[in-house]
Amino acid sequence: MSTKPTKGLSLGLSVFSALVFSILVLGNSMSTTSATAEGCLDIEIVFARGSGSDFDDKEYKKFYTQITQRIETRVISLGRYELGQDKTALTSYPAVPVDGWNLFNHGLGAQISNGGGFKYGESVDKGVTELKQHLLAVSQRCPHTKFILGGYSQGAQVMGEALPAIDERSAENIVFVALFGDPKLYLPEGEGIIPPACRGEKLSDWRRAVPNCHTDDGTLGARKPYIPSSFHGRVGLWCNDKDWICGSSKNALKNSGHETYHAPGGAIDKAAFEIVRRLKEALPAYKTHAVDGSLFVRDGSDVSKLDVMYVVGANASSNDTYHAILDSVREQAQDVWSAGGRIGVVTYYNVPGASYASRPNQPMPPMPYGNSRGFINEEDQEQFWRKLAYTPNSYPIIGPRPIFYPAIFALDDPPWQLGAQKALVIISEDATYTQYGRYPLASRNTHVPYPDYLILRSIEIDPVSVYFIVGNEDNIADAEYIANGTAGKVFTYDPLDPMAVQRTIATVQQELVERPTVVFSNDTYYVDDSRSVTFDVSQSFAADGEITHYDWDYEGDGVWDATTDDSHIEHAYPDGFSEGIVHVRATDTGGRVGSMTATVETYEFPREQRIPLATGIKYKVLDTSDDNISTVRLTWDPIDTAIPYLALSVDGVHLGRIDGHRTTIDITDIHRDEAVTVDLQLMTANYDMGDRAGVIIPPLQSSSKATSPQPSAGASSTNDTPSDTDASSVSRQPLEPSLTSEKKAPSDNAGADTNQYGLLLVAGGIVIAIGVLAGGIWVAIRIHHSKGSAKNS
Amino acid sequence: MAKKKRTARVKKIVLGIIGGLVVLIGATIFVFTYEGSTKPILAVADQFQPGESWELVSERVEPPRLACIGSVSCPSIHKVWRSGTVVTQDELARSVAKLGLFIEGDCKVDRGHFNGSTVCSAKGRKQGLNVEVVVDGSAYDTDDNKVILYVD
Repeated sequence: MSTKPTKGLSLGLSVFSALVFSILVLGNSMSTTSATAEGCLDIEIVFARGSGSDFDDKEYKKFYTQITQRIETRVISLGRYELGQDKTALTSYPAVPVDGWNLFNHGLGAQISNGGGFKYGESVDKGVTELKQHLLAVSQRCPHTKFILGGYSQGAQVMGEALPAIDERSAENIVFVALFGDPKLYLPEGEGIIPPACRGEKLSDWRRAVPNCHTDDGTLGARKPYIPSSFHGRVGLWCNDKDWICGSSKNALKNSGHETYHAPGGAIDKAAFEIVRRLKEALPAYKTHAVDGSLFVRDGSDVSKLDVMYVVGANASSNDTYHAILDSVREQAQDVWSAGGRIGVVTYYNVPGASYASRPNQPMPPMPYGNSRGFINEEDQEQFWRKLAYTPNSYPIIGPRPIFYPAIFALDDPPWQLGAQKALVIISEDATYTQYGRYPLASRNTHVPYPDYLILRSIEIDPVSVYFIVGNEDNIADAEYIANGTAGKVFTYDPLDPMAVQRTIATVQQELVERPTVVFSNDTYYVDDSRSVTFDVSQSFAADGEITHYDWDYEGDGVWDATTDDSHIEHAYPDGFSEGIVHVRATDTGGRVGSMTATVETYEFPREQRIPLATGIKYKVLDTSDDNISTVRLTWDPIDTAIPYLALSVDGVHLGRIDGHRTTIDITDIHRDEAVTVDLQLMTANYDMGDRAGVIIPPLQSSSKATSPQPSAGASSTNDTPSDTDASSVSRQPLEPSLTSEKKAPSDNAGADTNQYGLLLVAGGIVIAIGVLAGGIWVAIRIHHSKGSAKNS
Repeated sequence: MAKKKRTARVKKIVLGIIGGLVVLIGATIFVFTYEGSTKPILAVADQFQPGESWELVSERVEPPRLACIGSVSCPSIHKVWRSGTVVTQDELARSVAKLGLFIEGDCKVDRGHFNGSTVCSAKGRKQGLNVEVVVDGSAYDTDDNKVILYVD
């Protein structure tokens, strides 16, 4: 991967420069653009696509559209580049596919080589080279152009592996690197039985939305170090739930999360929001006004997923009001659908004299024909609206103050979208609600007042914020109580003015779209012996303005226990707490509120069952070749527990699993140009890993080979003081099977793999590959055509 | 005699192991290479009517799979046409008429984008599939005037 310019590269640069020049001459002919006199762009967005993706695929489109829509291009000039698109480039990123038969052609090779070999590895290497060359070419001509880098799946690996090798000037101009679904993910806080991430602790600074707190490495093993130190604070990593590629799922058949980064309100939307804020800081001061870091783009699919259920009182003063409400809801439905959201409507009709809804413990009656029964299918909407229009005349149903039945029906019936912003909008002329009705709460074996039931159900679901639109301000105490507990609000209108209710519905809808988005660092937090947990919602953002404060409800009971300006809070749960929901409400400068929940679980892990450290770890250098490659014998104390295995790593790269009864192993091919860390982790039958303990084998200097070993962090052992000169005193015959370590220089990003072990046999052009993946054994046989692949393996 | 029996038993065990491995490998290959029919998704995609002068520059049809482990939805279709000139809102409306999609944007080019940008789009659901048509337009390079169809 030499960066030395070649004749071909020079030609490529010339072509590129000419292209940029010709484009920018045109650009300069317009007084409205801001391209500089040299014809340089202010910002260039560079993206690397995922395995098998085409150019202009959804992730790339979403990525640059989300950023560029927030930038005033009359002031700031923008360009974009997708790796592989420039056919004149010397090296072109192919993003080889891994699906179907390609799994055996490319995917298995990627697995066995930790993403570094075969056609897959070549594809990544080409992407790395192309990125380096492209950035260098642009930076040489335009030293002030800022870069935004993004990569998805294989493309995320490309971006991550390129970072250490990017030239200094380009590296300085990189404002942010967004990585989605990275197969080389590394999050050390996700390691262990109760990872620190599950307690909200020790989070990596590149971690963004990674809902599964056990996520620690990608399917191709972790890249360690994950990013160069110079990029800390400028890299964001997103790994959706159920994404086998980046490791949040350990089952290859549960990979649906890998295809949803472009979804409305998804990771790419969130990354774009962070990027524009970074751009605001990185661009010259006189241009920052053209970057709208607070704008939440409404038109199109970039609005967060929004599920809205309307509960409409059909007992309005007149049919006109009822139909005005329906017309307005129908109008709002178009906006919701166009934004990828869903909408449902439940109507109710008050029959004077009936008392059905007010009787305690009454089972839910069936809801009438004409209601949406969940969310409306957009394709069938015309039929739905027609049915609904006749509902008040044809289906008068339940009793006085009947709001709770349809509200509960609306809450319970639809399958709400996971992760969507959810709202229940109750429209009623009369805000008087029954006080004495109680509803059975199955999960708690008790009956609770209807208002409390609504709050608890709302929070259980995700939450569903309850908004009220009521025709007068009388008797709204219950409405305010419910709205407060669910992070909703109460709005009033003049019941005699049909237009007033329409305006209020539009206002509420606007509020739903513009309210702050609250993002927890984890979906689930674990409370251990200390009873303490730190909640982190620092990724939350306001659609318009800033978040001013957070309200915290630790038990999910609708009672706000604390208010902070900070997006982190530590809370100690009392003894006896087993599991629950934490609910956070964020309020922005406009007074809008948004909320989100996460689950809290207690993990009682008896101290005597903790996985112990390996102890007494020592090494002895058996042999060293002229090129500083050693064979090292590692020994350790016998393990006196029921732990059946040890995992051996060299510089964080797992070499293999060792039977627990063994106390020694020989490791060959230790490259000693740099210090090498050798670690052991005890491993249970369920493959739960203990903490690392090990030794650091010092580098060999050309002038002085023998140096004293140092114990690594966390090592509980001391070492001999061996030197290379004592190798002859030790038998070269290994007592145990040897393992081979190919330690590469950091810039090569040697892959670490905690899930896969592989064996590759090459004979006569036939490759037999046997790999152990997550939960299965792979055997692949193929005729091998490429010498390079064999070398890379 | 006993030796023959032992040999026969060993043979059976070995054959059993080999048979099990063959079944395991076969099942694995089937799960990861199975491809369902693309007819339903093609039927939706075919309702998109590209302009007569548009040139199809890339097409990817991804069949349904039991194991969808790549970076591409299964099933999905991704087609790109080079349109020469920037597609107008009327042209877009005509091309998606059979799909009944909701059109967003005015299809007017933003001259601040040097490599083209999305100027309008159409999206919706058809026969249970998400359909999206994106129109890219550039004031500087006709190659950047494109129409992209996604179905998944």
